[in-house]
Amino acid sequence: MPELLPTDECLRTTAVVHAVLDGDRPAADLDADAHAASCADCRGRVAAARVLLAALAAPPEPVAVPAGFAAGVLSEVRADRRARQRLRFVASVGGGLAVAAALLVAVWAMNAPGDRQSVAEGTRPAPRPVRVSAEFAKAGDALRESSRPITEPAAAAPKVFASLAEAMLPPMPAPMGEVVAPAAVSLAELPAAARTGLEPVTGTTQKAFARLLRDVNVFSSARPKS
Amino acid sequence: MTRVRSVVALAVALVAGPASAAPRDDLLRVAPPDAAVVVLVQNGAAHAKAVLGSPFAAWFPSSPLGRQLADGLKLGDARDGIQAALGALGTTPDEVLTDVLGDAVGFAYSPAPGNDPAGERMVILVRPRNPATLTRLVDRLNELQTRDGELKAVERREHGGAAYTVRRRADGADEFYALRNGVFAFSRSEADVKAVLDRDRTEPADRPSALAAKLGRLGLADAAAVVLVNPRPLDADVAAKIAASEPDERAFLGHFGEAWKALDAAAVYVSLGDGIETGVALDFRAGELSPGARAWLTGARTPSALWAAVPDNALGAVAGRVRAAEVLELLRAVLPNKARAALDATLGNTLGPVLGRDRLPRVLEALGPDWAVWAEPPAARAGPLPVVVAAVRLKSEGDVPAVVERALEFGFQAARVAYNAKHADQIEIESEQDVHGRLVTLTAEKAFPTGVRPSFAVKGGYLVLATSPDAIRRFRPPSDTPAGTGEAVVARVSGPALRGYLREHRDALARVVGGDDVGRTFDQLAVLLEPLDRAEVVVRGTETGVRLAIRVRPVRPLK
Repeated sequence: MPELLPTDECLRTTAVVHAVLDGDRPAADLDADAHAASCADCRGRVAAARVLLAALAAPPEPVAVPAGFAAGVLSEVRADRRARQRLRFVASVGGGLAVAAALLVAVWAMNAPGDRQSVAEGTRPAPRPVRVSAEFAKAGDALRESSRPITEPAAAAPKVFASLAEAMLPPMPAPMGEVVAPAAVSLAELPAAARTGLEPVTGTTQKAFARLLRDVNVFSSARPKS
Repeated sequence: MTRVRSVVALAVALVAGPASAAPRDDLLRVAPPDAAVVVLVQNGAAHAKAVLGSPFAAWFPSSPLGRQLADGLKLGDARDGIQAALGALGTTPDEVLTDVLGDAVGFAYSPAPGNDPAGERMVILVRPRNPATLTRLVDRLNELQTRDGELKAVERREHGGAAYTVRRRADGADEFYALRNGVFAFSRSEADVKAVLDRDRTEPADRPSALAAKLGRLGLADAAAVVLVNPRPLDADVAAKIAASEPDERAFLGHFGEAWKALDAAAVYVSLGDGIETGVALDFRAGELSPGARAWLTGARTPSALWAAVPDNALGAVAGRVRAAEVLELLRAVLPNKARAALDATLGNTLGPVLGRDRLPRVLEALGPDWAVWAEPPAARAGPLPVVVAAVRLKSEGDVPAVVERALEFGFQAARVAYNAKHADQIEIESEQDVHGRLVTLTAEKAFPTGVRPSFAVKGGYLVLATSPDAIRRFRPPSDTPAGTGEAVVARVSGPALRGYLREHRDALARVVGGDDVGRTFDQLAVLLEPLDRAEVVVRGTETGVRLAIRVRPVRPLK
């Protein structure tokens, strides 16, 4: 059964693997990790670490590397990178929708009949000096917090649906998988190539909005830092 | 604070509908026409009024998602902060929205050239409905910030007979602004504000500016919010990126670079009507595109005939019109040599021997152009997994349908033999004949999840594969190809169908997928889907470009 998210045990095992590969812990610690016995993903991590350690420790001896190991590692790395990019995309789209929805609720609340009086009162001169920047910052923090009910499940959704699809489609028989894999890997790289070409556009647009936020920050404190 | 301000700007954009073209054109007339990025938000006040008075706005706060957002929103903090800040300026949200930001706001940005880090350009533009209100607010802001020691001085200067103002900040980062002929310009660069004043003096007011013309060609003149990209200032960056790319990416990026050179304008946009639409629009100098690229990137679109076969209760569907041979040709063009060889080897080693290598090109030509894949809710007591159906038009040319049918049956047999050789439980293959043709199904007690029985048939000129034979029995081949309208829906998701499915099968699905949090994720997804009636991905083509958009129809009208 596919695992949805890494558990705490998975994170601990991953940390052990990293520490062993970095030479911070003895290789025997890999054998002592009980979680790997019950988790296929972590078993794979530990096995890959053992192969790597064997290769590093005894270069003159031929190391029995499983067939397709390098391709498998590269494929996993690419798949992981793509998964992270997909997650970032979903999170950013979800974030945008969340902000829009939160704003609708906020604007609705600001315009609710019961609030009109207080808005009108707000137009009177404040009884004490109000730091405009601090007040807007407070409102911004409140809106930012509000997006979580949307962003968190939206970010988890692709993995859940991927797991459903995996449950419906049994693994492809090995011979067919081996034949299809090279082409599948090449096709899966196309979106990365497209992103490379679009980097000047996305980078410039991100800079543009960053400059906008900097420049409209007229309410921020302009006092020299002491 | 900046976040709130950007969000307010975005909110102002949330709503569309053609209003007077004048505010937009006034603003674009003085915007730098050669800026790399130009952002425009227009008719915000009208849109905000329409949305806030809409059936959706009346319903949403009482929906489960609306209540969750309201609970988490810390409305007291947000409301107090905004009211206190605007109160200090002597204004209200209504006044700011209607008189200042409600008609047209935007900004233009060009990155610094590589050899001149100080050459970055940025100017913010506002075309207020009531310039006097904006003047009053800016004066009040200057007064408050001077009182708080954030501004050292506010100075008045002149350029070409027009006045502009300098805000001398205490931290040394001076700011400049001008209000001229109804358009307010603000920048940290004095040169940019002066350039606005120059354009105000020289650009004609009686015909559309270059930027307005670009928006018109993209079909986005009335969009609520647009991020317009001028390709030319980015040519050098794109060329450098292609030159420095990995060898595996170069084939694709070579074609990308050719299309980029022919690109005249690109934009990301948001439009509002009954629902919301957001997408990407491209406009090319079509004559400079290669014939292959022109076929993909320009021209009217026709929806797949198979939309007529997708049931109304489908959870989601994707469909299009392209022949398998065309897709293969495109992939071979954009893949690097090694990957192209891998693709050819994959086809040659899998389909070639089964179909007959000499027949493979004919089969690929015969597959399409209409195709679709969709997911339906499962039948009662058929397990929690949805039924997935894929269909593609299969031209009746010679022996092609029979060859395809034989090949698929071979594939089913091969899968059956491979499984049966290693498992105690066995897969059986069943075949039934009716007036439409032969339906072939794999059945097993344990090999497939409950409700899953892979099947295929060639029916009414379509090859249909499904995870249930019942879905193929229900399949009704569409009779006609719809006429091209310039727009084609390529994907669709149904909010009510997905919500119902998730709620009905929540527990069983959670068991299938596994993991403690899955049930809660399904619950929250159902809540998220509550406002959604339907979401569609649409492609629109014109003689010179293409637009790809996501169109969301909420459960109640947005306007």
